[in-house]
Amino acid sequence: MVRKRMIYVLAIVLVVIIVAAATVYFMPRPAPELVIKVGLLASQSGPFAPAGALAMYRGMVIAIEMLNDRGGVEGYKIVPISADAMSSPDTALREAERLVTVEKVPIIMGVYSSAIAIPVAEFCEKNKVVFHDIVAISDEVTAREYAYTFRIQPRGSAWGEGTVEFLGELGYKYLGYDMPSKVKVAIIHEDGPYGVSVSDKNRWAVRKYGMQLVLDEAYSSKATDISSLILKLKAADPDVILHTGYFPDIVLFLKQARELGLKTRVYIGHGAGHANPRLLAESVGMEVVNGMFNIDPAPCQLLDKAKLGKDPYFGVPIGELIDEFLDRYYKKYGDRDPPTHATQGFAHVWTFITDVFSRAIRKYGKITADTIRMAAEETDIPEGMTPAGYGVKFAPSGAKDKWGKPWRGQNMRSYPVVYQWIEGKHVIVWPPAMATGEPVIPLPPTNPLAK
Amino acid sequence: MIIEAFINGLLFGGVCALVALGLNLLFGVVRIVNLAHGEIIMLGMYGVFWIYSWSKNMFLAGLVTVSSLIPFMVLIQKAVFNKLLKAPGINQLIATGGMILALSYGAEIVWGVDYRSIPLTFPIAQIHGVFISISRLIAFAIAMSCALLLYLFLYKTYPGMAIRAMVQDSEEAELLGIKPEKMYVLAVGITGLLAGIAAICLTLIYSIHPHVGGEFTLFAFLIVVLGGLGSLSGSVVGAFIISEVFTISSILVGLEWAYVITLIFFILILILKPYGLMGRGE
Repeated sequence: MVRKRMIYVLAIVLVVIIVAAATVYFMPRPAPELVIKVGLLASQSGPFAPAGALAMYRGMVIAIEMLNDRGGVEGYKIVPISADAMSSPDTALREAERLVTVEKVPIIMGVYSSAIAIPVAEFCEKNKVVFHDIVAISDEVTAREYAYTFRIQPRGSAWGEGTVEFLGELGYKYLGYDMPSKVKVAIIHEDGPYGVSVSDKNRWAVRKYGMQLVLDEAYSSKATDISSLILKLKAADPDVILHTGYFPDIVLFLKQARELGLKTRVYIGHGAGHANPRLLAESVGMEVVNGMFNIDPAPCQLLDKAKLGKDPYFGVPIGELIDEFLDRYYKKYGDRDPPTHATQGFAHVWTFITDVFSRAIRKYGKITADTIRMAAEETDIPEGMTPAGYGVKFAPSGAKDKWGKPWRGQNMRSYPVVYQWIEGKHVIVWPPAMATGEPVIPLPPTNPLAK
Repeated sequence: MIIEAFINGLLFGGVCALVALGLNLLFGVVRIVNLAHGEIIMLGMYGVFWIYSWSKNMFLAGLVTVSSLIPFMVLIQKAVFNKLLKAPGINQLIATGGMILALSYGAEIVWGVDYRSIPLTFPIAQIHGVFISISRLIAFAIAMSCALLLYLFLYKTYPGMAIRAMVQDSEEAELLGIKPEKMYVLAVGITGLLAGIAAICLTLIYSIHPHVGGEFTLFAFLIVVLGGLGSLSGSVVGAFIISEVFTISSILVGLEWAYVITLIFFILILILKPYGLMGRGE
């Protein structure tokens, strides 16, 4: 009797277990959310942060927020995994390692400084993870035939060549010369890969136009005194000073230049701290930055929206995307006139994700480092069809630039513009197709550096 | 150009001497090599900036900053330096090195990464065609005044002589009734005072950001070691020598090579005089 009851109880328990297991197995589950994790590597702290790295990061974050608000890409939500490079190549490499080994991201986007971008590109290549360089411009980043490195941003060569091209084609006339070869040029630059990359092509272009190079000197961006450089500049008496620096060194230079009575007719910066004249003015005074030229990709608020088309992925006028970006940037950070690095962060991330990720998903069915790489190699966006203004086509394997240097992964269609800060506003002066006004040369007489 | 460079070197030397004096005093008395001295100055620079921004009064900003740094340094001495007095030298370096990270990244968290400046513009001074940086002239004048006052304090007052006795032979000094703890507090307080004065002068010249302290540390240590650890007059002499070597060589061969030449010069002097120009062996 007892035995019969035991069997009866066991049978009931067994039935309950089978029913429960079947219920769990066949129960409809919510579909797993489709996500793509992307690593965002930016110097949110340290000396590079205020020089543009933080603005770049903010632009990248807003791009991803805007994409996710529109449902993401091909049904995939973008999940940013932030990593602070702390303005240090060592920290950047450690964070890159964390992103790859712990977070398992297929792509790392970001990096402001060329000194960080070069080792990170090498690391990503070894680990077969895509590196999308957002801001760092040293030619070396895309000169090593790396299969996994891509850069929509123009290269340092374009910076170096662009400013001298402006002087050689247009600027010399405003100096009162009948030919470019009469222009006296001084090149000063920080001695890292960024400064070297830009100044290299400054020199090349100066030779090309036959201009007179009266001084050519490098300095450490961490220098605490550059008065000797200024004394040499005074002795050389250039018409034009071409300066490539980060931020604290630019401030030190301008302060000491003023105190030591340096005078010149044209002052041209090559990005970084020169892209934020308001911030510079807080340190050196607005009168010192008035009339200063800079070369960088145009901040999107300066672009002529009538010349921009519709976003290839969402079909929305790019001008509207720019307005939304600027609105969000103002609401989050209180800045109506963000520096160009914010545009670069926004535009380059937006373009890469909407074009490359969407193609990778449609053509290859999934997002991995290799599908991203293969999709990027097929990118072909014409001029005016991105929020940065320029088109995108990455140089293929084996391609060489006009100097015979490899540039695999480099966007062949991007270019910076020369613009001038005059009476509180930016005016694009070169190239002519992008110009919104005429340059003011020489420096206004109210500028303490004006001759 | 060389004359102008020489004058600029002199003025730069004044700035360096201001930073090095406090560092050397601390080592001379407390026997602590404080790697975070630049960061203490950085905190002082922020103090000057914030108080000036609120009050628009540079004198008040300087007074409050200096008054705050003195007890702050005493606190550091009690909390950190006292524990390191008998520790191996490497421990001191690691502990004060840790202070660098704590102070600079702490400043980042509290005040952010933005560069700040005191919006003071000085007139441009020119004498017989030679331009003089007024901001550096001010720093130079203050540095020389501090050096003179420190000299008078150390040589003409009883506490000063007690400090010198501690520097020369701490055990003997203790036997003579000089209390080391009180001397440490006094020396550390004076270091805080000098750091505060250095902060005031440096805000006139440089942008303020959490990592600005590190920019002076290399030169400060070169000066202190070149002049002789524990020798205050050595700090002043070393500051001018280093700054002139750096400035003149940067005129002659360029800024990049100036660092190399300065360091080679430093090494050569140490080979000839291992305890520095005016240091004493132990």
